Amino acid sequence: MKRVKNIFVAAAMLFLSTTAFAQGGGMWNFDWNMAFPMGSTTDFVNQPTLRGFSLEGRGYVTDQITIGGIAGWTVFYQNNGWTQEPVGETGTIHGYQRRYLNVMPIMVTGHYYFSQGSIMPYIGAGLGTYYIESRDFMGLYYTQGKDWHFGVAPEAGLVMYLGSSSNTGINLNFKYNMAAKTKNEDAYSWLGINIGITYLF
Amino acid sequence: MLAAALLLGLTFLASCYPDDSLSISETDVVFTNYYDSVHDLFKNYSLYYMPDTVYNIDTSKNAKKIENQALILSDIASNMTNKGYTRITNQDTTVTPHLVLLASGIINNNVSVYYWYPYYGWNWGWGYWNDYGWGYPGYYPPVPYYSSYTTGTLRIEMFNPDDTRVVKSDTIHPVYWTAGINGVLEGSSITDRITKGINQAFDQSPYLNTTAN
Repeated sequence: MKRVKNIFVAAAMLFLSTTAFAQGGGMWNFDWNMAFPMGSTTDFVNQPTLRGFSLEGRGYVTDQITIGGIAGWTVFYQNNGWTQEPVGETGTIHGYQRRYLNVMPIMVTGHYYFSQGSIMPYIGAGLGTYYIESRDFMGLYYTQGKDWHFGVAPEAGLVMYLGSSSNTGINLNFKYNMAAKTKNEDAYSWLGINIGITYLF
Repeated sequence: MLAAALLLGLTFLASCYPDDSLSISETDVVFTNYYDSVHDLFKNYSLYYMPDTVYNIDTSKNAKKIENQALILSDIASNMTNKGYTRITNQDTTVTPHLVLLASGIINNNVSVYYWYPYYGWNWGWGYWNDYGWGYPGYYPPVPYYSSYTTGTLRIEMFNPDDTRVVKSDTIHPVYWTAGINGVLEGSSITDRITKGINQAFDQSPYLNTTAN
């Protein structure tokens, strides 16, 4: 049921973003996502990752404000090698440990642009959900956590168009991703550095 | 352009679980646990008995035979010696052991959920230890691990033959210490991996140490 609810929320966000585009123009962003774990997330994985990708649509609702939606996928991976760690109060496990986080954000976004033209600095935020699957492998065995987390992602960045008449440009932003704690799963946070192609329509 | 961007993205990701190829020995896992109320008692014991057999948990007709039994038993015995314990045999009729060690093994076939913690329930027993069965203190939760590979697990269990409990009208021995050494009953370099696994099980259990001699 929870899953259905989340899918409904995601669908509503995409619908919202499409309606926004109907008001007149917008942009598509195809971004490569780099991510740096922060806070308690570093207890699980502390290695940054280059494995990430997102697709974002933004539609103008005024000259300086867009509303849109974003979906993405980031994979954190860390190989801890041979590791010994406690299990409960009295147990001990020893094995070849690898840890993974698969993160899929689905969010509605809003952005404010400080100027128009070929260089457009902006601030914005995403609000929605992160689907996060964590796996902690020892040898062939793993423990797994998976849940939909409530998420907020403030960001600051800029869009640079390649020439004054071009509708193609570069998007670069820094985004702080916060996935809230759920009933069964921990909170996660990481800093994303995202760079990619912007296509204005 | 959309297709190109998506392709680019997928290439970056490649897989949910990248770099997940392991050598055979990297699949070996050792798990140990003890009964917390006897943590400080291990030092008071000195004599132990261990049968000359590695019992096969799988008693079905198609069960795979447990190989390298002599090596398994001698590795356990040498670790117990290093910890200060003395092994007695069933010829030693004048003394009774403080502890009994049992080695057992099973070749798992394509398990999807595997309980690391021995989870036999209270009534579980093999029935060869005279009239006794033995069991696990009920409050140990089993730890589920997932896998879909065929592996083998060697188990070592220790209990005190004088410590009995009656649970649901069955007399059982609570297990004092247990080791699960996974992966070492099948595959390549097996003898080396057996020795390493057994040594690791004892190394990660520093509370097994006697001063009673």
